[in-house]
Amino acid sequence: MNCPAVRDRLPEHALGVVDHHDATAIERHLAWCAACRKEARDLERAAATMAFALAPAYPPAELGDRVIGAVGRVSAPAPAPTPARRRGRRVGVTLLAAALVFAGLGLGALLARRDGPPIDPRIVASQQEDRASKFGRAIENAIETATANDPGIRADIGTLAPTRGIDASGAALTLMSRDSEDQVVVWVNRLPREQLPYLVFLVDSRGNAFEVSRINRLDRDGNTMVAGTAARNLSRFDRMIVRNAGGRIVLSGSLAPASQSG
Amino acid sequence: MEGLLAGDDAAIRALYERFGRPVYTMGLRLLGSREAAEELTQDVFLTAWRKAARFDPQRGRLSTWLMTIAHNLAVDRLRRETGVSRPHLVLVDEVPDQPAGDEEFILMERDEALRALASLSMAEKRLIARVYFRGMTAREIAEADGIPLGTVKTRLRSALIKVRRANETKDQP
Repeated sequence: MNCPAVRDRLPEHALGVVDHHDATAIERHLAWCAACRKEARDLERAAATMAFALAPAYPPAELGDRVIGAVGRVSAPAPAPTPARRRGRRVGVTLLAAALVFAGLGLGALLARRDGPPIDPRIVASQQEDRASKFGRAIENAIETATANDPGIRADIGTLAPTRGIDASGAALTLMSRDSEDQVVVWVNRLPREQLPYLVFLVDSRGNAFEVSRINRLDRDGNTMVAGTAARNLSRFDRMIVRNAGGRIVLSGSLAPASQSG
Repeated sequence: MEGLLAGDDAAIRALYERFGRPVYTMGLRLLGSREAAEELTQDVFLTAWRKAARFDPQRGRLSTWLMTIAHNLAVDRLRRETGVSRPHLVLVDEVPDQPAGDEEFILMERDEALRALASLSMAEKRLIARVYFRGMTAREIAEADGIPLGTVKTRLRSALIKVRRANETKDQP
């Protein structure tokens, strides 16, 4: 979905009446398009105004205790994870990196860059979408290669969008296998070097965060790729955040199975 | 939000005390029964806890984030139960001028909302209300009123921008 198509749907999106399929496509676009994202946030705030215009109703007094109790129950510590799976082989990461390079998608080309004089934002948006599409295809090819070596492997991928005031982008890939250690690959682009080191976390649906990597170095354009293995099962984590040295979130995004993300 | 993430009772209670009533109000007005409104309220705060790590105060206000969760869950429930969303309608222009709540926060939020909505014409209020409170899509409204889809979309966007500008005026020191 390109910028004009997304802008066309944003009012209905803000008012909560687009179907899930369109909402997913719009959210995917908003993850990397800062201009549309700003428009979306403004419209969402306007739409949320409606909620407070309603004549107040009075909930029963005991509802508060029920709500607090319900949240408290589900936020209780989870049972210990199942015993460690068989560890050893580390397939995937090297193959993926090699495949991406082979696909001609160096770091600078993987993610949007802003070299040279200012150009039409619509052209930038189009180029970004094109690059994102190429990135997606390269990932798919790379995953096929990894799967050939480890048929039990599962891959989740996602793009990382910047928080306000940060002009950066990123992408993430997790590889989970029954027979080998789970692995994480993170690409970042245009991160400020003065905010090193960056910490990379995976977050599960309950809000539990797990540090998976640390970015200690960036090239002169603020780009790098970090990859590593994780001493735990990553399958329950569906979101990644990147914090700068000050602890502020600078990048974040959802991860979804590669087969559904294309 | 860190307290919410940690499941801290005091943090959850503070959040509920501030937003419990508007969330319940949303449930009651859209879903039409106290039982459904109570279930919705519980679901909203559970969802907020699950998504707390995703909330970024630099991207928007907590009230916007939470009420968006509430509205989305309410509309989802309506669609799931009825196939289409046709909530018990409370049009904006049918809302009494004097709020019945007593908490300062609710009064302020409602006052701000009514001021922002006052910038809309009656037709614009009705249009937004049909979408937000009844869950009608732009296409459904276009078909019902016999006007071009593009016209409905343009009017919707224009109305939301008016509200946004009214909010911006309010936020200026």
